[in-house]
Amino acid sequence: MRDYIVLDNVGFDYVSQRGRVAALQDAGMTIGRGDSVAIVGPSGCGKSTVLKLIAGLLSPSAGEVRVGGGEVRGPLTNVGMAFQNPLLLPWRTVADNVLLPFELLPGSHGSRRELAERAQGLLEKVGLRDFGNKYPWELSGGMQQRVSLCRALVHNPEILLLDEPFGSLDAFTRETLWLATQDLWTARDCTLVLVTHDIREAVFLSNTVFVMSPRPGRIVYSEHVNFPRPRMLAACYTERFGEIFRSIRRHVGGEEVVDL
Amino acid sequence: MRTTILGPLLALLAVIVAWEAVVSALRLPPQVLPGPSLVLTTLWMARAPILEHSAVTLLRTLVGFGLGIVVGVGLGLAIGYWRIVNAALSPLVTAFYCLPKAAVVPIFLLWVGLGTRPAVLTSLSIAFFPILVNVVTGLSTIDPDLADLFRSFGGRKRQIFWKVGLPGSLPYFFASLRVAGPSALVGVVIAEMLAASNGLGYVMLLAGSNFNMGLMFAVVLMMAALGGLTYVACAYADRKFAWWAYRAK
Amino acid sequence: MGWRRLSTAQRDTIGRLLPPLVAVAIVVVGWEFATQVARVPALLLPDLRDVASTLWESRQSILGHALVTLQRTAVGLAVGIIVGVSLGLAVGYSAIIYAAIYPLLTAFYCIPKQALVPIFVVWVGFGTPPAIITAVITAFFPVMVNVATGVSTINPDLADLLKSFGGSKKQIFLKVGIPTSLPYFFSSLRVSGISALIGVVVSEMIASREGVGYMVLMAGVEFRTPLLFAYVVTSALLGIAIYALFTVADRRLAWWAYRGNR
Repeated sequence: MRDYIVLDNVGFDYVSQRGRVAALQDAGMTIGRGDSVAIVGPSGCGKSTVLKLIAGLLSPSAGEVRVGGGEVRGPLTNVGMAFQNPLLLPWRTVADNVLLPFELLPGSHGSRRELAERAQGLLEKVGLRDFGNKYPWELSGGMQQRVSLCRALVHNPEILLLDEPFGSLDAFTRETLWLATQDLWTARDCTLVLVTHDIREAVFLSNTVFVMSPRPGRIVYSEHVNFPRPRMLAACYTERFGEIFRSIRRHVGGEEVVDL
Repeated sequence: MRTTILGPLLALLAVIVAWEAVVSALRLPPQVLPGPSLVLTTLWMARAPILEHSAVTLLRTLVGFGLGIVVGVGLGLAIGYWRIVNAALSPLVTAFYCLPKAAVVPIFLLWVGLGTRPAVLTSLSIAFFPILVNVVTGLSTIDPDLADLFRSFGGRKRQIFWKVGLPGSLPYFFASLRVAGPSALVGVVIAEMLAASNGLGYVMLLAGSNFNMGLMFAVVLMMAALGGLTYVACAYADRKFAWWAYRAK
Repeated sequence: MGWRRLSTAQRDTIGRLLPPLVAVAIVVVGWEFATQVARVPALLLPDLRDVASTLWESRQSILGHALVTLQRTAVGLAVGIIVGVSLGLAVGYSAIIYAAIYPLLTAFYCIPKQALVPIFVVWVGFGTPPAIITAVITAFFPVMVNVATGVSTINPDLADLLKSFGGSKKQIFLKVGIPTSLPYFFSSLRVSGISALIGVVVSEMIASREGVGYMVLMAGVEFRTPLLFAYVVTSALLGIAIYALFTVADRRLAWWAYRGNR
């Protein structure tokens, strides 16, 4: 489905003590089902707002957000989210943290054992096989973020929304997690929307990179990334990668601004 | 474990020794400062009645403390969950905090009589406050992104409250007990000094009117013991039930 | 109605003031109901208007006693602050002093300070002196703890940085430790002030012939309930005044600590 997620001339205003601030204005984008896209842009341009609009956590002040053909009117139940802060509950084990969505989503989802196996399967896939019984503070930042990713996928969502998930990690851990994310996405039939300020990350993980303008944000540029899957880290150092990178970089900060 | 006990023990010993030395060297009369020997002798000779009165005070403290927990947690949860309750009650609770509870003891006396009841009432009205404040604070420290995460999984406000707010506020609750416990004792003692015919507070007042310094200091010692017991028990509960909060830091 | 014509700020203020006013109104209505309709005896709950008229008629003597209490509280608080700050700085500066004193302090904390009033009476007599001493004893503790905490919670990286610039321990203490402890200090003043007031009131109830505490006790003993309630209200007003005073002072003088959080 080519227009699985659609932002149609969306505007969003934040209301604060000082009045209204337009975070998004005339923002439009179309994302195909099963695709992997990234949104990059300068700080404060409204990237996170786009994710929350797609998830139905916010309602647009103008325009429409559609998912799967229907307008989004409230929190969707087929999304998984992860943020920069892993936000694990410190009083629960890793496994119990991963299983959290099942306690919240309406309806029954299977027996305890089935669910536990599902969680364990995900943890194995990200290299945390023996950590199910540990507590979050026993894990490093990168490991906690991997748990957060597992939690976002345990209920087989159709859409995976990642909001700067690797922002607080060092460069080496980040690269490991790019590969883990790619593995998880490839193994599932879900649509990935990644928000990041790291253009390399965006190019590595996605098929389309959208560039947002500074506030009030709208999409000013998009670039297709045609590298074959599965992608290796080595791809980041090829000439072609550098071209795509520069092409995108030129547009960050407004219309074609940076002279590279 | 050994070192944490040894330090305070040595310090205590040092204080006792210095105290005795000062009293003997300056030949201070008991009215000015009774030496540890006099205090301990008085304590020993009057141990039966002192223990009896201590038991009364302890019982009242425990009841007042328990009720203070119920009220503090109950009100705290209500204030933390419903914003309108917060808006309506917070100023009133603050005003109640500003009121010296000792001044309310005569009113309690008129309402419920002498002895245990006003003591428990006073104790509860002092002890509930730190618990209330901490529970409310604990409930309000929910990361907004976490709240969004919950909503994205279809979680309602009630679920966020139960699954994140309550467990998250446990460390705050237990931390407040360390303050509330001794406060409960203070409430009981004040009430006993004004409106009771038994209990350590009453004995204190009686000893004072007889200028019996040895007995007064003995009572202080017992109060310190009761207060210390309460404090240690609360610190233990804190470490046992909210250990994960300290590790997470 | 005209709701939409109000500015956000005005709506905010109404939203903040209305619920507690409604709560107070409910209390007043409940009180009137109890005294007028349910006919609760005046001995237990005086008529609201009797309390009000007593407050007005006896305002001279009420003000007199309130002033006495306030003066005692102010002196006790001032001395308590000086003691608290000095001890706090000493404890925060030296880890050795801290380790030595900490267990004693905890024991001290566990003793109900107000219970020491009879001892003070034996030492210094009736009236104002024991009240002030009780106030000092109750008030210095929170100040000391907060100042010590503030002084000793200096970021270790920052300390290293200053040392690399050649700063001595004393300089770090003066230039960073003390300013860092200011917000802690101000936030402890409020608690101290209320504690000092409580100390004075208890002392007055046991060993004084003037002051709000004494009058509360007297009115209670003589079953003069409207007067009792009038003085209880007065003591609450004193507490609220102290609380408000230090809240304002805190926000004005240590505003920079709240910059990020507002």
